[in-house]
Amino acid sequence: MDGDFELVKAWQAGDDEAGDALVKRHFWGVYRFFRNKVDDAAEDLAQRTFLACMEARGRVRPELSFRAYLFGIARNQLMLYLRRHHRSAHLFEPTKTSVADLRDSRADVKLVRNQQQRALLLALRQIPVDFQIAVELYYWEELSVSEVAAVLDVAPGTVKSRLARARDKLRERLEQLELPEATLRSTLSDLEGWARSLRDAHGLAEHRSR
Amino acid sequence: MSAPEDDVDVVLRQARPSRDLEGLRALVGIRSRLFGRTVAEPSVGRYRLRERLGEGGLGVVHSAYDPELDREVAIKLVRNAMADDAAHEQARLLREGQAMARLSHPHVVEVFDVGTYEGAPELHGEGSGAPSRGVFIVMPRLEGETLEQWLRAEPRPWPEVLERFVAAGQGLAAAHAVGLVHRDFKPANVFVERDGRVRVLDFGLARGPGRGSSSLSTTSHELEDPRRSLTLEGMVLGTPAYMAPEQHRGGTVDARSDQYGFCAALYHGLHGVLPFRGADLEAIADQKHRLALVPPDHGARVPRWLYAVVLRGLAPDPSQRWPSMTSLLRALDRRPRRARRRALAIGTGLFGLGGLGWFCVPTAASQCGDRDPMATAWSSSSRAGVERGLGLHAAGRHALPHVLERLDAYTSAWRDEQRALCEEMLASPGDSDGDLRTSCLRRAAEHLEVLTRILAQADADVAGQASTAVAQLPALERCHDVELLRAELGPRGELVDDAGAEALRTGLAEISALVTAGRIDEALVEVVARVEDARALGHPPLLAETLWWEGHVRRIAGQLEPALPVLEEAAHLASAHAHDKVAALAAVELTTVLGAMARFDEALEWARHAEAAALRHGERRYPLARARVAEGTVLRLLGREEEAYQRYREALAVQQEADPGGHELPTILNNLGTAALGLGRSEEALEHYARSHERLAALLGDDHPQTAAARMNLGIVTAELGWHAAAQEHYAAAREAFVQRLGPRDLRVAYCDTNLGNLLLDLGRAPEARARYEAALDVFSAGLGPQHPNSAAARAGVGLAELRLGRPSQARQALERALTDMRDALGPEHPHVGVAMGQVGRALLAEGELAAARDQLEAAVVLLERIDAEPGLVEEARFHRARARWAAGDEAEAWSQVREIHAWFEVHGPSSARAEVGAWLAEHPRPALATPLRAP
Repeated sequence: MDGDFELVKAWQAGDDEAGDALVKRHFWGVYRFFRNKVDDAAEDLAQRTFLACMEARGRVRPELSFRAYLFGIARNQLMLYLRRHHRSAHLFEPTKTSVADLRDSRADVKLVRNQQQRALLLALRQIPVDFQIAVELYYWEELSVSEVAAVLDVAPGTVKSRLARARDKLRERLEQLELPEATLRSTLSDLEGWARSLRDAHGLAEHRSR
Repeated sequence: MSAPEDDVDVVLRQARPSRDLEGLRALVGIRSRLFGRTVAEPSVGRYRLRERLGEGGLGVVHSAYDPELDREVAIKLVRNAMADDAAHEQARLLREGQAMARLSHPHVVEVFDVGTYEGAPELHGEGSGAPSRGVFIVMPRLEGETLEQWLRAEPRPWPEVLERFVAAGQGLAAAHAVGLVHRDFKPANVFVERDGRVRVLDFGLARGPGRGSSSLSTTSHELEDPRRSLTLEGMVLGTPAYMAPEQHRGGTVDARSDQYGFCAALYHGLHGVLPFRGADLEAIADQKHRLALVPPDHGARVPRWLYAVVLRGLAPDPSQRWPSMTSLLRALDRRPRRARRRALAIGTGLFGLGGLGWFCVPTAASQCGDRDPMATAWSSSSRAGVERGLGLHAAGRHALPHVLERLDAYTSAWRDEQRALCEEMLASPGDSDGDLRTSCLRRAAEHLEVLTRILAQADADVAGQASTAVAQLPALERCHDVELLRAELGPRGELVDDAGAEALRTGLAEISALVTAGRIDEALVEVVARVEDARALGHPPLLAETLWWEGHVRRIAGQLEPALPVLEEAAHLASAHAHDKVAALAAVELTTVLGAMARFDEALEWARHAEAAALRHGERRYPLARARVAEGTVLRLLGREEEAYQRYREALAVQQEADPGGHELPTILNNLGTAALGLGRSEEALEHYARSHERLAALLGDDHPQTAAARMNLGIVTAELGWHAAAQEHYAAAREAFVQRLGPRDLRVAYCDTNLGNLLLDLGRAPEARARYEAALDVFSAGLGPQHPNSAAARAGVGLAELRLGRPSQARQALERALTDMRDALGPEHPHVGVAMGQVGRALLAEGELAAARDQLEAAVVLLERIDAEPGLVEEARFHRARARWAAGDEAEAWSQVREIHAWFEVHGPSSARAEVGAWLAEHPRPALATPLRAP
């Protein structure tokens, strides 16, 4: 990712072209970072992240990759947001509290292709936020363990053990989800209830009235 | 990380959310805010995609904007995934879409446009990188809910369920007529718009069976691999329950498969349970083949005939079902049409709508809390004035407690509103909304003040109207609706604060109060003077409003012709200045006036203007409700009952949102009840009448004439449903109230007596019935003339009672006179004339004049059949004709006919006719040669 820091510098100097290039290049990663953690604020937080990056509010550590720097800022924005927007904020502790713990409304996993993915996204929200960040950055954004460690500001060994623990938790949840025959039967015998619960979960209606 | 890759790693990687449209929109937003970049909005064809509305098995639906026609639409993207016969499938979809676009039917959702698209993967929410391509279908953006949601929301009475399904079925039939098959009919594919309109969606989108191995939609998975579909998205899981058996097998799908789906869904809707259940798809298919239905929920009661009709549509063998959707619909329409006698319903005419218009024209800022207008408007002296004024008249003394109670309640509510507003304004000074609301409240206080002055000087008419007038005080809730108040400012939102405008507004408040108090002549004098003032003032919106008042008052005064130019000027002026509310109300008034003058084409033309202006004013505001009522009334005058009924329903929906507590709601409910009754939907009519009565009792008091009229209508429909005791109670209570408030010679008392007579006659209490009919005849003759159809109806009642009492020649005299009068008044082709002929025939039969009786009854049947009279009337005449035939010796033929007629009454009622015909059968042994009963 050579050139990203140069783009930041050019943007700081007033070159919007450079800023735009930077946003285009990194938008999807940043957006993904927020979208499974906050309800409607992903767009806003992504914008704040890029602005904070330009204003050099993150600690620049030249030995780190730009992406580790960027996600470090994103994490700071997320923490600010979570602390500000949840009543139980004084109890908030990123290594203990999960996104799901903080929500007062039921999680809304939108627009996913299958139930397994949906289940996993829900499960990710139920592990502590820093664990969730570690998993998502490692698997989705393909950051290295040391990059993840920099984002979370912990030692690489800590990241490894957190990843291992997170995987165990998620595996457990997925195994519960391998639908056994019995579940299938009970599901079918109440088609209506089943369809209803899914509809409620998705908030889906072909033409939702305003 | 060095840990070995296992399946959890794979699953975790795959769970990465894809790029989607929502994200794309966020990116566009950020770039535009940070760098001023304007990036083209995501679009398909010429349609600019907006938010995603939902996702079904068939594809995603977005709302979109069509810049060419400047409208919001819904666009469905049916993605053509990796199918190996993608081109074939795409061509099929396009063909179906094009066919749909050519089909125009009120119960099929329109297809504006179809085409193919190829675009960014985000369009479909599957950012795997492969471009998204497929077929798009553009439809109107509908507001409402799916039939499935509608059914789930609350238990629905079967006639309502049936009504919606029949509408959807008509959509299916129309599509079948042009060779289209739906393939996936289910409640989730039927949309119920907010105004109650029913439309079928997604024709032909489900994939045809038997082609290819991969899927366009998840439905095809079910067809090919029943087990796999179970792990797919939830949206399709409801489908197997409705799917025809031939679809399970992958056999040929045609219109009869749609019929099956329709009947399965209807079964579900009527009984609250799915017709078939099983542990898996095979089990469900097996149940379908054995027609092993899940028994109906005991809570839901559905007529047997309806159950039988639906059952035939669920036959596993398509050839055993109804031949077509059309024949199924005809069978479903065998609902009991009204088979009652001459119940005299009090229509909407009595519900003089009086001065309902209340314009809350705001003025410039006023100081909050500096005075209490209510202290003068409703002081102890004004209270004493009202007591004195009303106390001078019998009707007034009667109404007084109710009037005082409501005035107290209104005043106290007004003070609460004022206090709350005052506090709000102190909290945020300079808020112009607060001024609007203050001004609105002050208008209300002025109205109350004028009204109390009028009541203090009440004459007998005003005293009689007192309860109505008080009920029509402007609703205070409206003063919350800043948006509405702003809209009423007129085009530029200007505040007119000069003294002339202020005086004019006070004048209008006074006119409104005069109208509600029934002092129309004075109102007319006042309004003419106010129009002059308004012209001098030179503020066109205010002039339009004043002109509306003039037209309105003239209409109430019966000056129809002079009202027309005034209202037209009001309508044009208001339109020109975008004063939508007045434009709408003026057009409504014109619709009513022209309808009353029987100039129906023009009336309907103005109804369209009224609707357009009312919609501009706001979808959930009362001018729209009034526009629908006015149009409905014209349609009823034209005999277009079903359409009229729909308009009233729409009016009800709007009014319930706009002003659920107001005095217009009972009127709409009453109209709706009468329309439903006219269409034979007695149970529904009962519901509307009951609600109307309840509201009126709360608004005006139990014994107010309007409340009593509603109660009488309640009696009519209760009697029709066969609940005699309840009906008698309703009639008696209504009669008592009319006598108390209006005296025993009022026509409304005679209506009650006629209806009571009908009821008593049905119960076999002929002497009491005759007394009622005679009393009614006396009052009708005095009030309307001895030959008026109402008098004739009462006279016929006397004749029928005589017949029952075994005095056939007296009976015949009365009935012949009634027939002559009816014919003179109504013309020879009227159903009442046919009925009267039949009654004369019965008397002749009783007298033993067999030949004359047969001729008379034959003529009655022929006439009733020719003019397509209500089936119940025809059957009744046919019954007596058969009796005459029996008497003449044609026993075998007569007996078979009576049995057929009996079967008809079995299904359709009323119970009294069923009992009468049944008794005849019991008394007359089956002749040897009688033919067996035809299968129904």
